Amino acid sequence: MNKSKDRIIMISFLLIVSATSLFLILFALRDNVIFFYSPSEVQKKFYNNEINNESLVRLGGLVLDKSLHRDKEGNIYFIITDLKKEINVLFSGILPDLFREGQGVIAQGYVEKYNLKDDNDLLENNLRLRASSVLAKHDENYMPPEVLDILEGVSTNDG
Amino acid sequence: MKNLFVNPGFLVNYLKPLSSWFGAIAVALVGIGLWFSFYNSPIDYQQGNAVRIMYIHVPSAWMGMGIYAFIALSSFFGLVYGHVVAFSLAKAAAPIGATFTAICLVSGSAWGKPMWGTWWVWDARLTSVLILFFFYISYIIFSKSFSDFSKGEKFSSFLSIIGLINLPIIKFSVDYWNTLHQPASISKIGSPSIHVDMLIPLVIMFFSFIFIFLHLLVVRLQLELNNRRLNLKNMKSYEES
Repeated sequence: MNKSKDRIIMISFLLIVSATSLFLILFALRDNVIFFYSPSEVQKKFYNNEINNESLVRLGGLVLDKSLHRDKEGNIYFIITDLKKEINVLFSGILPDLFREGQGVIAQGYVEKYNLKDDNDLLENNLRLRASSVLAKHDENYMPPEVLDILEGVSTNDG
Repeated sequence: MKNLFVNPGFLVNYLKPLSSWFGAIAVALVGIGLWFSFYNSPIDYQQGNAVRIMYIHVPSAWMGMGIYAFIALSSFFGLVYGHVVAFSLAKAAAPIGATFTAICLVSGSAWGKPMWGTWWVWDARLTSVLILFFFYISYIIFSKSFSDFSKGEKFSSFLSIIGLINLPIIKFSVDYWNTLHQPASISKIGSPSIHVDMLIPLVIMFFSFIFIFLHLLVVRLQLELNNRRLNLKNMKSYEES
């Protein structure tokens, strides 16, 4: 019986030590483990010179309502927001099916400063993400379309 | 009752009828579950028909994690009390859990392409599940790569207990880090965020996967116990010669 007690202590010790060390590693590397930055983080990092126009970044947030439009060459312009800060995105390519205004998306590309004369951009700040790929997030809500209609009916009645 | 679990020779008598019962329940539940999943459940307001992948993907993810916890727990009892059946249960469960994890990864990939726009990304959730799969594979490899099978058992049991740390990382990866993968729907505190018509096929599929696991576990447990007997016999005849 004493032997098995020793083994329990040894295994628990081993588990606690490795869990703690792994926790510390992941805590220290948090900036690298996260998959995307929010617009606020990208702006802060850009102006603090932590990232420049040569660093590839992933920017995640919601597509701002009424911000999506296309020009004649097929370039797509939209704005990603975290409801605090906003960043312009320029993309030419195929958008995923779930992409729509108000949807959570992640764009990967290079941040650049640009001059405000470009009239395809709606936003008044001077940061833009030139995206090479755009991914759509979907949320954790699952329901049939009819239920959504009912829910929206309720919320518009309230408002 | 105690004798049943301590004495493997005694236990074997009960395993055969048990495996047929589990198998029959599994077949019935899979039938009902698939019928609900494909014919008797609504489409999603955003994802349309692609939401049906969830009924395979989510239960197999739960199974992959649950079976890993089961392996680590049995290994723990095996290591601490030197219990023969505990080691055999862990070894019998490993390939089944690895398969469920692989199903989770492949179905998730097939779901990610139309919805997210990519087969694979290195976000925290996807990466930690891949690591879970690697833990399964290394458990299986290490348990078989020693000529003295009891040594391999001990080594791989330690490995499986260390890998237990990965399970909370998988669970909380979507809350703690920014990920492409969406947060949990079922275990969310507050209102459930999955409609009841979609919850029914999901739950049935989960129970059918549990019975598939139990059926295969009992079949593979007989194999492991017989293997162990053969190994002991071989070692004895080797020592005698």
